[in-house]
Amino acid sequence: MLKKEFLDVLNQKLSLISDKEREDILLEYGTYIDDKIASGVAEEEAVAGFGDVDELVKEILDAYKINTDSMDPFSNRADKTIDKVYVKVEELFSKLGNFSMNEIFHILFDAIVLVLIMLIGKVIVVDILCQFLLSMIFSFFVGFYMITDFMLSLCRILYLCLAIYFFVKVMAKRVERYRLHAHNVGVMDDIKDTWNDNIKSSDLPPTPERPLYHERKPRHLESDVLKVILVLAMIPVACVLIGSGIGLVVLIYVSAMYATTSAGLYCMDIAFVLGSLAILLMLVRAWPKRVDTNA
Amino acid sequence: MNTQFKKGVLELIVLKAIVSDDLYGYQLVSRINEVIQVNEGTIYPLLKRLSNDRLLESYLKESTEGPPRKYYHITNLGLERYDALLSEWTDFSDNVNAYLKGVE
Repeated sequence: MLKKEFLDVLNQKLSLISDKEREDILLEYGTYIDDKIASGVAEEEAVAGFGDVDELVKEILDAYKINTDSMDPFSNRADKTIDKVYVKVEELFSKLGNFSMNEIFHILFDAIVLVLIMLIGKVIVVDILCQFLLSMIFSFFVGFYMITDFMLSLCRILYLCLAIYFFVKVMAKRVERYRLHAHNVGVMDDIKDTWNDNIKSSDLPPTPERPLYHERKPRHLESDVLKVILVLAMIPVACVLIGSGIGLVVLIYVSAMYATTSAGLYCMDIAFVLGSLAILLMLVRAWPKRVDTNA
Repeated sequence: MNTQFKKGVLELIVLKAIVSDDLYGYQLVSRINEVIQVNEGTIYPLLKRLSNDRLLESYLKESTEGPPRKYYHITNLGLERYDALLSEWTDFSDNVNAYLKGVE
């Protein structure tokens, strides 16, 4: 390592020390190296005389009464890394608005709920209702399959556009709510509220000051993680519920149209519906209570 | 040589080196290296600590070539500390030596 490089490293690693003091230290080490070179030692060798830079930095910080012990053990380092990642992510999101990690989790969760609702809506509105209606209408005109298909895809596109519009609108509102720290308003309220205009700022609590890092309450991350896990568990159950529900409708349709009934199929389908409904309710019951982060 | 030994006695040696005349970093390290081999990097933190404890004070003095050098000067407090450490060391090393001789 050459002198400049060494001093650069030192400068960087001693960033905890005030600028003035740091300059002083660098000047000391700089002149020392110069003296050593003047006495006939090669530059690299002069720098190597200081030994391990990290050791040296530790000693210097120690002399400035900056405790470095807590930085050393591996477990603490792992802790710090997690903390760093956490803070980085939070910083990243904070750039978008004044969000804490908890709020970010809430926003993500709300987005998942919205997407789920829209998927269910798509199945009900497009795949069942539209198809049924279209086939009813066009079954009178034989040979209009092309038009049926065309109308159906038109319905799909229309629904997709509407869904995206709806999603963006609701999410924008959610984000604004969280920015104003109005946790008490659930995602459902916002969905009902979508067609009203923007949030009336009068019925929102005043924006609290963002607390300093060490003043913040311990985060309720566990409950958020639990929520994510619950949602992930709910998705397949919800799919089963929807599927068996559709199955039931189809069974009724078939038995009405063709006058053939299968008691076994009915029983199985109803069992599926009830079973998935029960599991879903159980998961909903396990939902953690909303933590009032404003209090 | 055992680094623990060096650590304990380094402060005494630094004070001794600086008792007679004011020195700058490189001179000081050269003098100390006549007695014991120390990591050159560790001298500065030690000097900083001694300055914090007001045992040493430093001043800048123009040099013939390059930037001004920082000279260290021992204070009265430093002299007291030196005397105390010296007598402590003498007692300590006498005792240890006597004991070691007795065993042999």
